[in-house]
Parts: sequence; C-alpha cells; structure tokens
Amino acid sequence: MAEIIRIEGVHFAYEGKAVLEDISLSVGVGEAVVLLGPSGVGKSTMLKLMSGLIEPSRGEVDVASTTSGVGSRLVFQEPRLFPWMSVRKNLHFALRAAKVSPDEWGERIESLMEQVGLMGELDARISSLSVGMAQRVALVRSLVCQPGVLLLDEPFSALDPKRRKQLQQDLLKLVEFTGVSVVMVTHDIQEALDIGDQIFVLSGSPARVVCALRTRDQDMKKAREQIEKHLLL
Amino acid sequence: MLRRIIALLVALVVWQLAASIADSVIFPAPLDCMLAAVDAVSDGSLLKHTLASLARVGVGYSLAALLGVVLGALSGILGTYGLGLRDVLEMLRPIPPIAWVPIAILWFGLGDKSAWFVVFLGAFFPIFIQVAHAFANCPDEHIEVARAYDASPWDTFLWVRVPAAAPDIAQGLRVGLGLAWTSVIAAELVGVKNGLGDRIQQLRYVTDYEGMLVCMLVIGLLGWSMTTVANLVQKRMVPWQKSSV
Repeated sequence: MAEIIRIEGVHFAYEGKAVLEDISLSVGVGEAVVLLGPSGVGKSTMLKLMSGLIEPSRGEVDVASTTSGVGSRLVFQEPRLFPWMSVRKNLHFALRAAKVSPDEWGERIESLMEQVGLMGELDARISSLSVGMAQRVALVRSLVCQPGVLLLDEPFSALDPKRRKQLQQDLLKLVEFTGVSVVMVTHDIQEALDIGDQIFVLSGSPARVVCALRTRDQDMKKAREQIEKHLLL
Repeated sequence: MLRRIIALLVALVVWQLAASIADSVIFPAPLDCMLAAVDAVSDGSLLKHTLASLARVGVGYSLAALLGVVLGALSGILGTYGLGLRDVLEMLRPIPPIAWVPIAILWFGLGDKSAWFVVFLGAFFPIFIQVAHAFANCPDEHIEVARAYDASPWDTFLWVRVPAAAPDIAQGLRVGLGLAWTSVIAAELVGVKNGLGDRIQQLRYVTDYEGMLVCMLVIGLLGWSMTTVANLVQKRMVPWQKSSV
C-alpha cells in the first residue's frame, strides 16, 4: 500500500523536556490510523508534527501531497471556526488559503455540506450553531481542501455520547465519500476500535509507541485486551 | 425608555428644588436655563459655537483615529508594543488634555491648530494602546488555524488578525471619541475665539451663569449622543463580539 505519511525516528522536545522519543509509523493511502494514549502523553503533538505546525527535534516527517496539492488538514479538538464569518465564509477562507480556484468553491462546498446535512446553515452565524454542528462544519472546512490526509485531534471530546456516535458516523460517511486518509487522536479505546484500521498506542514519558496493531486482522475483544494491557503498563 | 424619561424628570425636579433653596444668582434654576437656551438658539450663537467645537473634534479625532489605528496595528504586529513602548505610552496617557494646552499654544500658537493638537492627543493614546494591544494579543487559536490551513501572511492579516482585533479597535475608537470631545472643551477654554469652551469663558466674564450652564448641558448632551451612536456602530461592526464556538 502506498504511504501518505511516513514518520521515521521522530524525537520532539518542548522547552528542553523530551515529549516524544523515537516514534516511527506510516499511514497508507485511504487508511484510518488512530493514535491512542492517556491525556497529555503527546498525541496532539504528533498531529501538529504531521500538520507542519511544529518541527521535530530529530527524525523525519514526510506527508505526501495529493493531486490537489494539499498534504494534510487538521481538525482541532474544538471547532475553532472564526466567529466573525458565516459558515460559508469560513469554508471560503480554507479554500482561498489552499489556492483553490473560486470556480470550484460552490461545488466542493455543496457536495460536502449535503453529506453532513447542513446545506441550510451555509449563511448561518457561527454563534447560532450547536457544538456538534460546528464540529461538522470544521470537518467540512478541512475536507473542502481535498487533503491527502485528515488529522483529527479528539474531535468528538466535547460531545455527549449520543452526538458523539452521530458525528462518528458522519465522519465515516465523509471518509468513504472523499476517500481521504485519516489520522485520529483519542483516548477512547472503543472509538479507536470503531474507526482505526491501524492503532498505535503511545505511552510513557517521553512517549513511545508501545503497541501497534491492525484491527482488520484481529478479533476485537483480543485487540481491546492488548490495548488495555499496554495502557495499564 | 420610560425609566430614562423618569430619571431625567427627577433630576430636573431635584435641580429646581436645590436652586429654590439656594436662591442665588450663581446657582441658576432649570427654568431660567431653559429661557437662556431659547435665546441662544434663536440668536444662532449656540449653533455657531457647537459647530465650531464639532469641527475641531472632527479634525483632531480623524487624525487620531487614522494614526492610532495604523500605528497601533503596526506596533502590535511588529512587536514594538511589547518591547517597552507600552510603558512609555502608559506614562503619557494619564496626562490630562488640559495639561497639554500651554505646550500646544507654544508650538502651534493661538487658534485651531493648537486645539486640533490637544484633541488629537486626547483621542490618540487610548486608540493606539487599545489597537496595539489587540494586534499584539491575537488569540493563538485563531493564528494556529490560519497556519494549519497554510493561509498566506496577507490572508492571515486580512481575514484573521483584523477581525479578531475589531472589537478592541471599535472600543478604542469609542473611548477616543469621548476623550476627543472632553479635550476640545479644555482646548477652547484658552486657545481659541469660538466653540463651546470659549463660549463658557466669555459668558463667565459677563456673569451669564444660565448661558454657561446651557453650554455645559449641550456638551453633556452631545457627549452622550456620541457615545450612544458609537455604541450602536460598535454593535453593528462587531456583532460576533460576545459569541464564539
């Protein structure tokens, strides 16, 4: 399988303190990879490295560009939509930044907004959206750029269990619709098993990959036990 | 609205009672002031002096708004605001406009220029400081989104930094307007030959205390009107101010 992300021997230190140590992993095209681990272990730092927001202290992070020219797009824990823009203008911002021709904006926006059932909210103010709706718009904002890989930083953490499940389904629908690869961070084992083709468990300080497994080849119960064992170490 | 009218009527009644008790020429009653106001309106003097003051505010405030916003934005973005400039400006800001009047007259002579300068100084500091602070402290979460989406520096400035700073810019402009208005009166008390400040001085010399109070009330009324209009403009300019997801 062709790789969209390859991480080799990455170390990262913040203010002199080692956060990540010797991390190596790869993400295949069209694959959903989950980074699992306790809070504060460095999962979000991994996503920021993949998005290019920060540079590794050592090692290499390669993100392949797609035909759209956009490598990755990050969806934050909170929607982080700009409150001074309407939903449509927020999407325009992402498209303009990705240097997408304005002729394509309408079609890209409409096809994705239809998928998440928010076509009627295009001209809505951000303050009028629920958190779940805002997070869907944030997903669309990333996907309109047609990135090779979607980086998700615990995107469901602010939602109640019912809405969380609903948004998970929307995410899977969008992933299937666009064929985008996904790297998602979570500390929820069930969520990792529901979404991930590959799961990497990060643990320790500085964090290392303590377990890597492919869910497709595994019995889910055994996979869960294996993850729990490593998280308890 | 009804509460405002009642409050105004109560204030007038209290003023009338106090004036009756004092029974002195140096404490005019509201009814006497009303008659003086009718005279000042009918002979055109009130309008003439009010327009002169407004024109000075227009010139001084426009300059302060333009330079305050542009230089404040540059200072905030380039980081000079955090590098000691803040302390210098915070030291200059508390100097009341009236303290600048003698210097203004020395530098620009008697007349409009010195009044414009005093109005400019009164409005410039709050605008500059508010704008510089806003641009220097653009929330990281917004900047991080712009970076994560590969937005160019120009797009980040235009679509992120400016709107994120807009509530503070509007606040600075509003505060600056109020101070411009109080500054012009201070400048006119000594430096010029017309305007409401000058009119108050002239009426004091001829012991027309009712006329003085009319001018003071017009100053208060116009100041209140400016603040009210500025509040409405601010609400329209930055409707997202108290909302974010």
